[in-house]
Amino acid sequence: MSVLLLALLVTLLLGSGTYLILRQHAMKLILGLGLISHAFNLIIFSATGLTAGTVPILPLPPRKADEWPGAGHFADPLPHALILTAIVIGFGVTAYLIALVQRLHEVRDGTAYHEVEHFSPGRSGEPDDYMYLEDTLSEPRSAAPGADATGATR
Amino acid sequence: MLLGSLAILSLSGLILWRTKPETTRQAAWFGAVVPLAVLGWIWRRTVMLDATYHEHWTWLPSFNLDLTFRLDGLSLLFTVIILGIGAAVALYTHYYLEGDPRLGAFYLFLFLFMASMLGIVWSDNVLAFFVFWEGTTFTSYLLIGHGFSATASQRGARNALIVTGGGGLAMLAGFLLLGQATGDWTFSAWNAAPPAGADDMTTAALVLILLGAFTKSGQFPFHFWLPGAMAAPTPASAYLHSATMVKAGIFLVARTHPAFADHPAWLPVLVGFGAVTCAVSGVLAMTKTDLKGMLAYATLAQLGLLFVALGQSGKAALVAAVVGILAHALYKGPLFLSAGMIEHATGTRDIRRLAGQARPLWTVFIIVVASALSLAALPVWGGFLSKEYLLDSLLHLADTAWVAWLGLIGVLIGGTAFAWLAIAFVHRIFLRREPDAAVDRTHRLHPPAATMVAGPMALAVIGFTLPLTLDRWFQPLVQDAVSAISGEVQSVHVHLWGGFNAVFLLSLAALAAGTGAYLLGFRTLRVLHRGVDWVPSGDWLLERSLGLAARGASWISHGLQDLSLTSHISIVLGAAVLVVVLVANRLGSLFNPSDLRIVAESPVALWLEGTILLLSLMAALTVLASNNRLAPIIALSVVGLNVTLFFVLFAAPDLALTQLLVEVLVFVLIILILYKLPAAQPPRLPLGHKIRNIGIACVTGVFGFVLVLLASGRPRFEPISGEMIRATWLDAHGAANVVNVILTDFRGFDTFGEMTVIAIAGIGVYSLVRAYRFRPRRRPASE
Repeated sequence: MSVLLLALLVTLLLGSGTYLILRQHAMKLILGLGLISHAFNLIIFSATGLTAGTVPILPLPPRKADEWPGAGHFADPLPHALILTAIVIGFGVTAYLIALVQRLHEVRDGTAYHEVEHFSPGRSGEPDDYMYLEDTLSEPRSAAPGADATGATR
Repeated sequence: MLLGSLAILSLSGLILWRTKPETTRQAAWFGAVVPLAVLGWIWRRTVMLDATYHEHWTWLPSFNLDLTFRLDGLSLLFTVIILGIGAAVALYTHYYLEGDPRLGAFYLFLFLFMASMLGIVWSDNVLAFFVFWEGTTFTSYLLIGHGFSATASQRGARNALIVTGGGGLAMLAGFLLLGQATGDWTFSAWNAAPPAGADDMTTAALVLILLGAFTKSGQFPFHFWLPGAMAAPTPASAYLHSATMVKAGIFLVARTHPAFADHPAWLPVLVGFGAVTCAVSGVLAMTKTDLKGMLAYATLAQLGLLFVALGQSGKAALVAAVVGILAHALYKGPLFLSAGMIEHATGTRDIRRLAGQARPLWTVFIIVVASALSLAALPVWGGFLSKEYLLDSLLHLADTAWVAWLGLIGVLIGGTAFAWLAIAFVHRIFLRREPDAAVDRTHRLHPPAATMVAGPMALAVIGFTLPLTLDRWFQPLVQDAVSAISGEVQSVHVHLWGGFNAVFLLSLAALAAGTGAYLLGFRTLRVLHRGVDWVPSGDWLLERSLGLAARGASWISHGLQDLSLTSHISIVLGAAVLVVVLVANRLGSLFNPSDLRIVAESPVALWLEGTILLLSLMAALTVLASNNRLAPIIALSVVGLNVTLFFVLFAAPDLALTQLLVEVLVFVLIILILYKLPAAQPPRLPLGHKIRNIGIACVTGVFGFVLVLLASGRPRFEPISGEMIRATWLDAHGAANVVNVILTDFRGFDTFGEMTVIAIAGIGVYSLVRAYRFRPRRRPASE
């Protein structure tokens, strides 16, 4: 494939991904990040120079030293390894984000769960507040999740 | 055998955890029998041997980390204590935490703790020692925090973790220094060839190692964490905080005694800090009203005594240490367990609210009296014997070293406090008629079950009969332990009676002082209270620095992160663009305009690539523009599948497989969540914001365009992967996939980092979805 075409595809993916992230909506944030991950994987892949080679899987051993076909015979495996790592980490981040959106929905009692624009640590909260956790397993699931966000009850 | 024992103990913990021990009585007996059986096994296998028992397992030789186990007299002494008291505690726990649904977890941590503790006393390799040391730190953290919604528990557990964990790291640094200097990584090698002289390196290593011992054993000024940890369930306190974990510091000092005893700093530091701890904690113990608080400070004082003993090298001092360790485990364990039974029966642990329990709780009464004899150091019980030898040794030392006088004063103050405590326990809880404060009449008194009493009673009886058995059954144990500490074979016979001499008179004086102070009662206490307020403690320092750290972190995050998401992303992308602009000048020569031509190997390939490109473009536009709920998600998957096809075309099957799998997973996840969420449109943005966003998006897009052109230019250097493929071809036995070899071998640490990220993400997802919820704006309950 021509480099130019790939560059155009990356441009579009990155541009639309960024625009979606800026849309201040949780689901669009997830979608945008997905597009950007693809874009960056393709950028890394383009470092191979986009020359077709053989799949970097060698014949099974025993392999003889004098049959070595030269490294140029194979597609460059290093970007493959890097992108493999990137894909898996991207998946971890996406899964975390999805759980976060679900949690926002729960904590905000289903309202405005998608608003992600202003997301800063509570200004008035004492530092100690973040150090103590509460076990909710022992409580009924319906114990007013909205109340926890405001601290109005208990 | 030793590794097998550790495995058996851990496995029993797992079994107890999984079989819901709160529902069955057999669990208690199972928990008691396993440690005893292991002890019997070890005893049978080792007592027959003349030489020290060795066991060696290779673990990570390239890090000098092997499982080298060595069972000498000192280790055997601790093994007996750990497993014997462990059995009693395991039996007791079942009744103490009756009906607690988390009893299984408690058993699991208890047995894991037991295994770690045994690992400490068996390890010859210092790094393995450190691993087990931190094992006890973590399991004890879990045990202390058992009642984990109670703030006091959490705070106690946290402080214990920070202090002992930090001390453990200091100790590791000391080990590394000494290991680098000597080239040996085992205690036995260090002890056989002591690091000569007092050069800076050895001194630094010694100080760091002692820091580990002092924090673990709660020596002044780290004496605050142990009483704080008394929020733990009583069985954990009895086991960790009297018999085992706090003795790990003592064990470390005893283990390194042959290597360091000649160092000029050894004697003054150990005797000095031990004496101060003994005096301060003894006085603090007298001012407390909580039974467990009193016992906790008394434990610290006793540990101080042991440090005073181990600071010296004479045989008498080492006998004092060994007998002291044994006697303390036998009397403090039962006292702690009795405190738990008293609380269980009467509903309070406050000594002011207790009185006249001798008749209703007669079994507990017997246990407490039998143990208090040794605590008060009445002749001829264990506490007395240990103190007798210690005073004797200190008096001899006083001719040559001034610090011995400090030691003497510390020991005498400690002895006074012990006598006071023993009398207070027996008199105030059991004998007197009326309590000082109002009693909660609503709690119905119920005497402890016989099975609950069995464990502490057995320990108390062994402690009570110790004067008879010490020189018969325990003689080989004591002798071997003393030999192991001193580094040379010693012949030891403990005399019960040293005659009417200065030492005996000093013991009597301490006893009399304690009795007198008790008779004076509140007048003594008022003076003491005024005094202890002036004692410095590391507690406020820790609290202050923790508060400071939290405040600083909050200041930084407010300063840096109190921005909108848009500003954040603009900053991150701006930085990335800036970097590319800065290096583009240097990389510019890579770019070749001929790359821009559309070339394809064949018409079919061109057709395929064109299709992929077109589909991706359309799908990306759909993701961007659609306001439908489902369409953009499907479109995102279409982009992903096209990328997968792209990987297939360019000979990257691993990528294609992974991408396909991840695409499916992400799609399923998003759909699952979306199904639960109500529809919500993004907010309408003002025109200015829209233009700004489009601007940012365009800049990013162009940035990607430039990056691809630069990256795909003709390489100016040989790719390093060529060597990787060649090495795989020649050296990889059985491996054929070069990508796999890179992931697991050439760049193995990258993969390790990746796994860590995934683990953190997994923990994050789990905690978000399942169990915990931050509770904002709640002040911690007062302690």
